[in-house]
Amino acid sequence: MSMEIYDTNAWVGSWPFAPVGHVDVAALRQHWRAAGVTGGLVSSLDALWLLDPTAVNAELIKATQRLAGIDPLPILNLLDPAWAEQLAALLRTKAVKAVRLAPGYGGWKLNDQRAVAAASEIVAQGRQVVLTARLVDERHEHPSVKVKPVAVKTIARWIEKVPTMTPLVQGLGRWEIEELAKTTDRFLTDLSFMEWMDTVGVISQKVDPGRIVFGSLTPLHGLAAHVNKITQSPATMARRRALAAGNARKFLSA
Amino acid sequence: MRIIDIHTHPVFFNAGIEPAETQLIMRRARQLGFVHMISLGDVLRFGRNPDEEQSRIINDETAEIMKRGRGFFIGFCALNPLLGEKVVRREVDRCVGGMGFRGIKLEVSCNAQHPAMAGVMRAAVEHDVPVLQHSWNQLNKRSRSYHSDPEDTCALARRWPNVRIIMAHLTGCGFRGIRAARGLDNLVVDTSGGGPEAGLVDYAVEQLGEHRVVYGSDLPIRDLPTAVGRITGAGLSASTQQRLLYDNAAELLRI
Repeated sequence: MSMEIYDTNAWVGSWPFAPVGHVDVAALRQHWRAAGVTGGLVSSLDALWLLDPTAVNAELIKATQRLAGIDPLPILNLLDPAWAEQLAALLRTKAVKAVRLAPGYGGWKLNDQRAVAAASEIVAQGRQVVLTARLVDERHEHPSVKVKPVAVKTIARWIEKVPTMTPLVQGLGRWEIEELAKTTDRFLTDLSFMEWMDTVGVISQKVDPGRIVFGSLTPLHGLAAHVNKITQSPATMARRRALAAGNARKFLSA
Repeated sequence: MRIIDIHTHPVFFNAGIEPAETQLIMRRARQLGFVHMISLGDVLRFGRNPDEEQSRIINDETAEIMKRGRGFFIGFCALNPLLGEKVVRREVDRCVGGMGFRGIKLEVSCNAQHPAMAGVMRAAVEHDVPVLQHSWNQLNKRSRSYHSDPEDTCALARRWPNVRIIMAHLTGCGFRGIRAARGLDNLVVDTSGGGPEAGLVDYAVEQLGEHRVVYGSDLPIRDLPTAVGRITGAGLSASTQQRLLYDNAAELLRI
């Protein structure tokens, strides 16, 4: 079965707590190809923790240049007093279609006024916002480093305060997605932490299938497992194609 | 590819109790290559300490699922060790001796190192059946008095070397759980539970050997193709994949 698969939640760089990782974009690309993934949005794990990730973001943008189908997803850290400079530099780069916010890892909170200001500016410049609500199951974190997932109520309030934004929220579990869907339909979600018998069928009852995208969380999660979640779903082929790539393409071209 | 799923809950908090729901699970599973599923029961339906009557209800439902499956589902007897050895023995005799169950399932009534476990283990020895012990990393929790960390389950296996132990939830056990399980030939780890975190299946095979890792999903909480993808995407040889997906469970359950 041939199906375009666009991965909205892929990473390069090093992870300090486990021997996983694609050190660079070339290694990720090879890994993707082996699993039938055609391209996607890439962020750097090395940028995740930095107050000023500008240099790492710049390196990522350079590494993805001239690689068709691979789009850089730089991370903005709002803990930096000069975050507006970080953002301005990113938005000057044509290749940047979206900006990732990862509050738990950057050390700031989504209920900060800066999260509203930054999101508003990103959208005003015609780009999209991707929010990392969770990267790691909190039950499995290193005992000395605990990053809480972003609470659904906080996400809902943030979305409400930026009326021009429809963000892609990544890393929510089943009950969290359903809770968010009760408060707003102005978000997209990936399925990186959503799983149930017939994942696609279950979540499609609560969220418009046009707002669900593929995100593997590779290399922290197994890529083949997440690919199977879509390609071997009992959903119609049209729905699987939309989830695999179509919805993400629309999101990034909106 | 033939698959045995050693960790499923076809009835989960009362959902799945209807015959049509059982048929739906079987139809979907067979399409994907599954030939057997181990039904562990609706183990938390009455909370973590079911009484004797509640344990019987859970196991009677498993027996009903087995009947509906006509050989597809294999039952494990869900027990609360804290009810005491007499009650435990009576239920194991009824389920394993009388209804063809092939193993014992332990959830979170007590820690695997609790003295009450002795009664369960003696029943397992007498009936020659494996014991599947729920296990999860307890470093970030405060529930270890009743919830087994992988190190607790490994201690149980060490204390009872003549009982086959299935340490549930590879993802919940993590790299530390795999390290703890080295050298315990009577213990296998199942791959169920949690998201498909990378690196665990291949590390378990490397550290424990391909005979000591067995496929499980934790259905319905988990998605079958995703759970299988943990094995098929782990960079293992085809023969090792087959061992994890079918052979090890078949040998463990003497199918």
